[in-house]
Amino acid sequence: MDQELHALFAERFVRNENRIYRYIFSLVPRRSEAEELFQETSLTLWKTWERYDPKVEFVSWACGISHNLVRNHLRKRKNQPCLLLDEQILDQLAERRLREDGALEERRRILRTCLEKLPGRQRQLVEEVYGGDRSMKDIAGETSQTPNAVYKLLRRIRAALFDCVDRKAAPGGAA
Amino acid sequence: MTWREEVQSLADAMVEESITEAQVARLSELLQRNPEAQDFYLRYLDLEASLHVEMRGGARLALRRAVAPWKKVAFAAAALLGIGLSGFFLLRPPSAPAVLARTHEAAWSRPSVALQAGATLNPGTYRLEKGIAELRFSSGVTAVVEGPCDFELTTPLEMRLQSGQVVCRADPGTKGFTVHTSKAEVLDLGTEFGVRIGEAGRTEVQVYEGEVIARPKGGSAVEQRLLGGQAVDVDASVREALFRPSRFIRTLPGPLDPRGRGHHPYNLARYDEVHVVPAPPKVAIDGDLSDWDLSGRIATACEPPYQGYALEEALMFDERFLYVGGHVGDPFPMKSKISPDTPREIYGMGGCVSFRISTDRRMGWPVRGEHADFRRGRPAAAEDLNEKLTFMVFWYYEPEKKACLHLRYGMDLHGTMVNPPGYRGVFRKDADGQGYTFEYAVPWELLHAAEDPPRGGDVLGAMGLAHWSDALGQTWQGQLIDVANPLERGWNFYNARTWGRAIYHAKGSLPAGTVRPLPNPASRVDD
Repeated sequence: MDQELHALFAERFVRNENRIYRYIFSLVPRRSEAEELFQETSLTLWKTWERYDPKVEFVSWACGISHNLVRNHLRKRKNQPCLLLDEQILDQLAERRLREDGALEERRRILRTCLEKLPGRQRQLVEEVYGGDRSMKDIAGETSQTPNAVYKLLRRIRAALFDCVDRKAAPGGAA
Repeated sequence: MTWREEVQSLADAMVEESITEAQVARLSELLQRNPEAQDFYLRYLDLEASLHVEMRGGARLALRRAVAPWKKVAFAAAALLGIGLSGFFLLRPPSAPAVLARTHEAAWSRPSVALQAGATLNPGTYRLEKGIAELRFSSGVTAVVEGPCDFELTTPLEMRLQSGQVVCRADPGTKGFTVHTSKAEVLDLGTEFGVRIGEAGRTEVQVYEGEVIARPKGGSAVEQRLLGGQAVDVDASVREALFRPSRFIRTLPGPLDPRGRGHHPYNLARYDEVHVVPAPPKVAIDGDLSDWDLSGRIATACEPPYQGYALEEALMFDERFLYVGGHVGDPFPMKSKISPDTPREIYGMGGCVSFRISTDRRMGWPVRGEHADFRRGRPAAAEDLNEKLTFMVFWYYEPEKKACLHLRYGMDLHGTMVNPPGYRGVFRKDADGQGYTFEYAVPWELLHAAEDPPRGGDVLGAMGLAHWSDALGQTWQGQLIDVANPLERGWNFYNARTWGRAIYHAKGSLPAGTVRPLPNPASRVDD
């Protein structure tokens, strides 16, 4: 096997896997489904690395493959109410998402700073909800709140983080 | 309610998985009519996805519930890498976790028996009083410990560090090795990284290449994902720290070095400019630089303990040629077995000197141009494909005793040419076998500058690199990169702004003091 190509592929894969996951999530914004599709994409990429052309930009290539898997995923569930946007609008979003990838990558970096600025309790909640394995019910129960109240608080935190990133993103910047 | 508030609320419902069919229809309608709304929606969702990734330390670790499918990925990857599953999270039944591959002035106080290179290291506790020892784990990980150091071995996929420091490097494809300290767990995802115990057990982690997860023990502090060039201090929390390439002793680039490609430099850039002087009327390309004007020469070297790996380089020019010459300190000089006749992407694997150079007089300095991977989806611009940016690789193909030249152009490295007509080159080995002199004349045509070659007074871009090989001349070991723009970070291969200045002089024999090293060497860490 071509060692150089393989090394190049492996490096680009590791370097870019977060971007691939986030691309998938923008089309299928439900965590467990997005995770499954990410795994399926990873598996496909590892199986097809020999077809990777190093001159082609890795993220576009990988996202193209994951977009196909997302399409198949949606078609499989065509007869059930799938509660996702329809294919035609997802295609528009997919294209736009890829174009904005650089700007979104920058926003993710800014997000780290914004996370540090969250008040301690909010930060802790974010860690528990996003970093832990416990259900929302358990997390809510611990602080004697209803899951609904926690969802509401999370919405407020997300909005605050979003505003924080907006403020710090260069005006008219890479976007 | 503005469209923005409405999209936000629907996106919230979407990620909470509480959205109704009617709401999906409404969202669709809002997005359909409004590209601005699409952008907002994508940013909002990306914030959510970024939180998954950030709080989990990476996409693979973001996977929560379904472990089984990921194993499939591990199997596929392991099969591809041809390493068997032992290297990929799963263990074969351990016998001895490691062997002592080699040592340098090592003195052990535990165990009490003298340990020689080649010794099997059974599970147990060890204390290295002084010197350096290289441990080779059966999982495919090499660890270099520097005394004084206390550590414990248990299985091939982990070690416990009680005091001192270690640098670990995993073979390609090997992942999952963990260094435990009293304060932290450092999980390797395929990389080279260093761990040191500081005061009161504080754990310093520094990643040279690849990816690592640093996780504090106990407490609520969140784990952190580190990439090459990043460092953190871990005790109750994880704090970012300054990356210092010379903080840890790393394996010597040498014949027994199992570490592979030698991807990153072992030096700090000492120069941000190089002086190109007019060539004397007659320059013989013979591997002897005594007929050169060496007044613009720079001398740079790898950081201790590798200072023997050094590069001196000088550049001259006239109307027809660019002259590149110098000397490389190298214990295995001119060994390359990389044939110029076999098409390949990289010819420098067996040791080489290389230069990135711009002959674009209109652009001047800093040089602009980015590789596709750095552009993040931005389409290639003319400057990314600039024919006047050249990557030159000089190597000596030992089987045919030939001074070779590989040329590629633009930041996309197109137009590859090997040993094109018109250049002349000679290598000459040092009498003591500890280095070599190289001397090349490259016509401006080959640098796409015949029409408008650089002139005295020009300030353009350049960067020099040296790669060392193993004793056989087949595998890359460490490298050195110098003449860098200290204001830029990142890969010189990706971003031409990282290149330093090349100052073309109208008159040679530069006065003393013209060549000035940087007062503080820049910590360039990337190739």
